[in-house]
Amino acid sequence: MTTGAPPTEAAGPARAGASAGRDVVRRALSLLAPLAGLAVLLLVAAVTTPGFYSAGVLQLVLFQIGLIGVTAVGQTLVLLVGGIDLSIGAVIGLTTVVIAEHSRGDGERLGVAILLATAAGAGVGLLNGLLVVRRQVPAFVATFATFVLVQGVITAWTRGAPSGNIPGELSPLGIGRWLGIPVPLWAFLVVAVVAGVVLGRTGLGRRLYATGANERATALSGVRTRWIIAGCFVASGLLAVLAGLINAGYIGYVDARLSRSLDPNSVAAAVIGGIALTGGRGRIGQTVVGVTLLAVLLAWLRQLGAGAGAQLVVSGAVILLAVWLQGSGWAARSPRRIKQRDGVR
Amino acid sequence: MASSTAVLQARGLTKSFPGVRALDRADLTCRPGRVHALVGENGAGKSTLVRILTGNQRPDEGEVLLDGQPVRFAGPREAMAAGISAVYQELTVLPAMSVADNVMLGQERTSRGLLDRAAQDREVRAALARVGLGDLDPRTRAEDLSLANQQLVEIARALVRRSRVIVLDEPSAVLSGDKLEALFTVVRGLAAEGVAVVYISHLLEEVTDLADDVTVLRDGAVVSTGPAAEYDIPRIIREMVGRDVDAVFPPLPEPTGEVVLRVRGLVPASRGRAPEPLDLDVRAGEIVGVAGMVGSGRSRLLRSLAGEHPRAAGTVEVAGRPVPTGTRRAIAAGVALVPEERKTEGLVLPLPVRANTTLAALGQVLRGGFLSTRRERDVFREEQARLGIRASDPEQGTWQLSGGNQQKVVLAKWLRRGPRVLLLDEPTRGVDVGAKAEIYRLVAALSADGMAVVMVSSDLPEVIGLSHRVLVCRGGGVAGELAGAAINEENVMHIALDTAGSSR
Repeated sequence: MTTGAPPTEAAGPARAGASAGRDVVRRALSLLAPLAGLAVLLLVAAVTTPGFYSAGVLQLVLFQIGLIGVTAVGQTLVLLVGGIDLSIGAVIGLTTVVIAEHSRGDGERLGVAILLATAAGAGVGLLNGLLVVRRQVPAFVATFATFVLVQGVITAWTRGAPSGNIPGELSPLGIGRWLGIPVPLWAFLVVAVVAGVVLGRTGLGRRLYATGANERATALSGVRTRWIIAGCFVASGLLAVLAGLINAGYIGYVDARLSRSLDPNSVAAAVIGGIALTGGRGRIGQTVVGVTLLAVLLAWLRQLGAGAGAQLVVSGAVILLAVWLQGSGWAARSPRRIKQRDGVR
Repeated sequence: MASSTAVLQARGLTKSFPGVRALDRADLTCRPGRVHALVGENGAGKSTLVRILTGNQRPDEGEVLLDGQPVRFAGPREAMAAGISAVYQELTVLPAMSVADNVMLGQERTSRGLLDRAAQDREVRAALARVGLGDLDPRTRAEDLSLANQQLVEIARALVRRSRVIVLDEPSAVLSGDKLEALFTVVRGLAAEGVAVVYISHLLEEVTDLADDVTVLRDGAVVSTGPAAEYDIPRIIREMVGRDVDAVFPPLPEPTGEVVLRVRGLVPASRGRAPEPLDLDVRAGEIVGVAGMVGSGRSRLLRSLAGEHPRAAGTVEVAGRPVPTGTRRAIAAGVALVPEERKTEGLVLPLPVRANTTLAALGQVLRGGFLSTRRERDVFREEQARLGIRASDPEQGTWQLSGGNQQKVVLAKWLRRGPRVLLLDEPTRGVDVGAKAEIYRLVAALSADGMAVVMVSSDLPEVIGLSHRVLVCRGGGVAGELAGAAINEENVMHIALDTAGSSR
């Protein structure tokens, strides 16, 4: 079938098949670059680091995929509507502190502690969303401000030395397994599937993409774009709480360093997967590949003996590299660029 | 001929944009000490000509001569350095800075690397005196000045650069009465000092008052040029609009339906002078055109009908139901707006055409709560057949379509909702002639099917050829209404420009 031929009624069903097929190919292609990166990385790791393919490392990688993945899904939602959420690390820290301070290791009080943490995470997300949609604060600035704010709250509340214990009842979420696979990874898979279905198969998902690609035109079509944007920030806050619970269950104590982490991993994972920082472009499948790539990379670095500093350096470099590649037209022939070229009067 | 005395000359300038020839072998000769008026309809090519003269754009063909020597400006800075400055309708004064800093912007006088405030002040005061602002303290913050004085500050900025040619792009649009008179005095003063002034305006009486030479542009080409004494207003209007209707308009059956859109005492919110309240009834099957110059309040009026722009007063009803402010509520009441900015407001360009077609009515393509891509493709094919959208495939990116086909997708999006009232803002801007005629036929067919249509357009033949009635806007409100045989270009222009003449 030649492209550009005038459409005819008779060609209807055949064309549907052709365009559906092309869609599948396009989706596969969008995953190609990050998948290739993953393959190369696995190969390099195998050659340079003999002990890389051990059960211990594998378990760590799978846990990391789960932990980073949960936050990366939230980050993806925010990126798709043209924002960015820098407060995720702070919400993870806040969740740990709330659980520890409220329950003090008592499993009876865990339920209420989780509710409190959830409310706090939703509150931070809502604050981010309101700043962005009601005051037109750039998301980068708004979420950085809430990041600092939450850090301050944690420090003031705990006087810089968080105390209390994580109830053992939470540990299955962090270190448990089901069918031999770590629970955090299951959590990520469930979250990713739900997000993928919502994004790809529902009206809400369509409105979300449209909002990210052109908020003005979408709003003029009668879509509540501000609710959608704010909703994405709230979802990101809630997923950060889930990640916080997973992390608390995994380490079992309060890690004072954690609350000071800006946590670039969710951004790095989404961006190397191919989610556009400019909004409106990207699929959850890409995020999943990006998360896997990043988790393997971090685990490999740890095997090589790199410290936390080196891992941050790598996360930052990965973001820069991915953004640079996206900017130079690797991920997609962006319609934005085409739009700029055809001189609007 | 007179090129020995010409300071700036354009010869055979041609400039094309995708789908439009903005400038077609245009000539212009500016002589020192003379005010040269450049007149023409919206889109006649005035702005393009000015942008080329000031180095903001490069011509496809033709040349610009400065003192008889061909020049090629790489950018506005080079043009300014050569003595050519422009003051645009949209002022570029920086509100938080002082008048002195604004005037000297980019021309700061320094002494040993530091700003030489004393020297600057002397220069600023001299320049301000030349534009009639001798009493103004140069340390006043620009945001505290009136629009008129901000404009004069911009002219002062051009003077500090020792400009020999100053282009004033619709300076009178923001001025009125004695402010305008003050501006004229300044312009005459500049000419008397030997500056060549290019003056762009829609207010023809002022043009004939002020100008020494006149050039009329139409569709990018120069219709005529000569000393102002040879021009009167009727001649200018005739030359501005006198062209063949270049698209075929479908016949319009007389509207017989009931009143669908009822507007009472509508005043769109505005920062300036409030316009007269508008009463308007549009019947099913009727097309009401809205004409007027850019900035006359046409789009604002349309947007306030669509609930997009706040209203200071008045009510809007569709089929007896009030239409409150707010995009979503207006859409629910049966109002659809096809906005002026197709690419940024009408469509989500990165999405495939099927997604844009269903964006306003996603409920129609859900199956069991989930989006059905198959249904969406079917919906697109249905609209494709109905509107004649030339796209290869429902998956084609909307950004890949031509302007006319993009506009049809915008129409399709609204037709899915079955609106009672269709509001069109510049429906054929950037659309080629063939697609224009198709859109005209579509609009006529929709109206014949019982839709009430209100259409704003800068394209006069379009307003005249496709309307049962025409409202003409001026100064933020509706200044007159034409119906039947009275609808012609001269009458519309007379009302739009407030020149004495026929009808009302």
